[in-house]
Amino acid sequence: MFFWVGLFYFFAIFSSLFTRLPAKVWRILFVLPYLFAFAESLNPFLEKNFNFPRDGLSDFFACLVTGIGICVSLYAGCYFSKNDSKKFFPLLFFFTGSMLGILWVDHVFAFFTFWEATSLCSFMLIAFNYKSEEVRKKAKQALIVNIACGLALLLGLLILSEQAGSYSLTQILNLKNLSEGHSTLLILLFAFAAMTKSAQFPFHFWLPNAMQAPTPASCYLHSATMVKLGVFLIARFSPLFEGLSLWTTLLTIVGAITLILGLLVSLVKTDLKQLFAWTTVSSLGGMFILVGLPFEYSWKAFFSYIFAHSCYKASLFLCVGNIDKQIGTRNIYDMTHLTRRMPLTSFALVLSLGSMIGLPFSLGFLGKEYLLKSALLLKGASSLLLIVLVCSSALSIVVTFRILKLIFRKESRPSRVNCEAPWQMWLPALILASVGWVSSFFLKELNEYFLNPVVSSIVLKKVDMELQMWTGLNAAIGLSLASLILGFILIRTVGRHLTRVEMWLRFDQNIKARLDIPLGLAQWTTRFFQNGRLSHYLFYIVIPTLLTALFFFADLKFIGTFDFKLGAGSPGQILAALFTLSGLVGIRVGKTDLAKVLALGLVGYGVGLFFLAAQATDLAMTQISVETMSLLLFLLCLKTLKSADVHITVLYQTLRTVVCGAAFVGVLWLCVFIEKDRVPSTAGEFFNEHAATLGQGLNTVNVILVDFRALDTMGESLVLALVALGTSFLFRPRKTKEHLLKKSALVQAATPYLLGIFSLVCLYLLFRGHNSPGGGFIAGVVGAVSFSFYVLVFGESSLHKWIRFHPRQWIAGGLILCLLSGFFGTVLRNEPPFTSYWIHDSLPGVGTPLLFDLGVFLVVIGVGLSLSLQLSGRSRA
Amino acid sequence: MIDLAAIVTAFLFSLGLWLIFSRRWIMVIMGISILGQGINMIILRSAGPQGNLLPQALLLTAIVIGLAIQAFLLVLAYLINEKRSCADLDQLTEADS
Repeated sequence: MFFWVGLFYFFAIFSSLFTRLPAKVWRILFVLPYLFAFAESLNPFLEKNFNFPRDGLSDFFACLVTGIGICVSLYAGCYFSKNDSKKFFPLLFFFTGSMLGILWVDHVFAFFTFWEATSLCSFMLIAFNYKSEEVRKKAKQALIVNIACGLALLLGLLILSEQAGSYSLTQILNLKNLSEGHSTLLILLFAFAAMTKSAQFPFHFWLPNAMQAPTPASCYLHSATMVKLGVFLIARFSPLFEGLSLWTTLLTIVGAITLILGLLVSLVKTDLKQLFAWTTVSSLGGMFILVGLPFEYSWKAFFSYIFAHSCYKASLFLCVGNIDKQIGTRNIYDMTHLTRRMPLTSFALVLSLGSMIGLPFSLGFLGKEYLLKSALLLKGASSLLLIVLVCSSALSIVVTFRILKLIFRKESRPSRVNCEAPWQMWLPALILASVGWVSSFFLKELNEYFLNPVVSSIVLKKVDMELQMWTGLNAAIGLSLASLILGFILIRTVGRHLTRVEMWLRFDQNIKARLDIPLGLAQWTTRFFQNGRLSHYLFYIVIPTLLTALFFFADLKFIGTFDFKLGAGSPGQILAALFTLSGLVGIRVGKTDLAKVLALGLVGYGVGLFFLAAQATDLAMTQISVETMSLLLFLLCLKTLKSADVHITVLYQTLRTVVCGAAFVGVLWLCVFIEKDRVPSTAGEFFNEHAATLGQGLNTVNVILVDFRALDTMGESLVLALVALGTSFLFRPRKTKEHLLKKSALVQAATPYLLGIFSLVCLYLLFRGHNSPGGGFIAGVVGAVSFSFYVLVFGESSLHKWIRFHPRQWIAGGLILCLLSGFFGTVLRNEPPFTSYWIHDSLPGVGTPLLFDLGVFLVVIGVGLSLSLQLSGRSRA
Repeated sequence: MIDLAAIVTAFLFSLGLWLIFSRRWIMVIMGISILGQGINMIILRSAGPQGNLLPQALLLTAIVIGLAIQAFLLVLAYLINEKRSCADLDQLTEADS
């Protein structure tokens, strides 16, 4: 499984490289992974042997994904220009890899991750033409819906794995005796996830909007594969909820509403792609009905319905793409006499439409018939469902008739030239269309090799069933005939008035917008709450937080038990408090920005003194050196950030004062609370006890950083590196300009000596760090400060005398050192990453943690240096 | 018992919040920095007097990361102000270039 996902991800990463090859080569190259993956997923069916964790259901979907993938990749190679291909194919491969991941993994979290990856792909493909704001909005909508679906799924999976006590999907599916309370919640969660992913009413809106994606993507993601994931999810987890009435009712009702709604809307769509999008929504509704019905029998219908739908709908979308590309429009009224202009595409279109309305001898016929038969099995409410089904197939006949009438209509003008698409574009459409017809002639093989494994894997027991084209005259055939007649009546009566409805829909947009009360309400709410003013958003965050705090404050009856006595502070604390408070006062009353920044420095040093008074020497050192660095950065930006005072209204000022006052009281309370009811920590004791033995260092803080929690520190160094990288990218197009401090003989003479001394100090801090206060972070910041000061005096070029490399190289070197020390043991002795090694006898204190600390040191110094170089406008860019 | 550190922490918090509400770039960044320091004080306080050193280790990195965040914010503010003077942060609606 990993191989196949990896293969597609590999192609996703390198496909833009491959497009440098000649067009013929890469077009074929991009089809190859699909071909191999198709063979791989077809193989188990032919051998009747499924490798765990793959089974019939997942491999059937994999066949669909890779099989349609072959056609789409062939098609897209020709459909897109070279530049667009560079953008499209990575996403396509990434999507396919993730789909195979969903289908073939057993671990719950991997399943979820791949699931989210498909949402992300869909988002990026919808936003393919991201320059239009319309497109961005619709892409965002789809993303939000899909993420909501993902969250519901995650919650459901977490509850299930908690119940099963395992993260394996197979074990979860074999879970027996789900409790009543849990099952209701789980059904709601899973149904929500499936409904959003598969665009069911009332979450159907994102799918038609997703048609902003380029046609091959719409074809692949938004009709044939990804939107079926919701149905896949339901089918996969159906053994858990089999026979529960909520499950059946919910799915069937939602499916039935969507089925009718989709078709009704598609009746009045004139954009061919939109039209097919709505019929897709409707077909997905049909699938929901099928997965909801509690009979083994309905899985048979499910299989044929999905197979048929994937084939004909993918083909229809490819045809739309062809027409769009060749004629330049998707409006159905411009498609007159298409049979003459694009004969092969029209042939594929007609074949697929035939399968869609379920003409005899097509797969669609099987799907429709078995759907009706399954509905007939349902007792009680079946008559309503049957009416819905009959109406829906009548409506689909009307839709089809509308299209067919137009593409066969002869034009009064002499017919235009034949403008058939290239073979790479009509062939996939034709193949997919004909699969929907040809395979119904191989029903025996289909039953034996595909149907039974798939259904067995869904219901988790061996079944033996078969699809048959002709089962004699029965109720289902009668219903089909009824729907046919109804369809023709509708065509005769309603069909000709559709144009008028379309016109009304198009011209009355303004009136409708004014009448739309929910829309107006939504717009008003959005304008009020999302007014683009950051300070308002801040209030929305802070005020509820304070209210929540107030709730606890009132509820937990703490006030009575507190002693609000003032405690005396030690002399150190008093000094620190003096520093901090005078700094705060300075910020509040300072006239200029410079004064305020300097006062900020005072605050920082004061906090450092507090750390010192609390015996946290490492922290104090870090805080004081970091504060120096931050002062420097502020000073460098001061000139650019100068701005006039903001006009602040009285109301705003009052609100602000109230909020800040409340925050004051709240934090005071929190501080006392923390003092009183401390949560006992066991982790701290462990570190204290074992720092000297396991970590071989007396400074526990440093041992935690470079040894016990080295992975965290690694992550933090990475964050620092990213910040430096980000700023250097932001500053890249900027010109460099040199501005030095004013010349002063004393400073100039002293700086080189200072730099020398500081370099020694930071090396000293680095090496003593393991046993006494110090370490990579502190040494790095001290080093960065001293270098930055040197640069301010002498300019960047003079720094090369001291440091040979660019800050970025320092950072990279540091990260590499960290990684090397972390994976030293992994490579050499096959132990977990970040296991420490010491050279015991000859050199005490030398080992991988020291190397790690050195790496951290290099990263910090590189980051600090690169930040100050860039802000002083002297980056080499 | 309310000691000096608690009072200072509360002051750090409320002034930090005050500055964040000031709608001027440099003040907002200063506010975030001060707020961060207040939070650091609370975390250190949670360690208690009996010498739990884990919060200290976490704080050490938090301080350095705080510096990095502050620097990044400064750079963003620098770039935005260089292009057009944006006095009131509330007028900053679209993050485009």
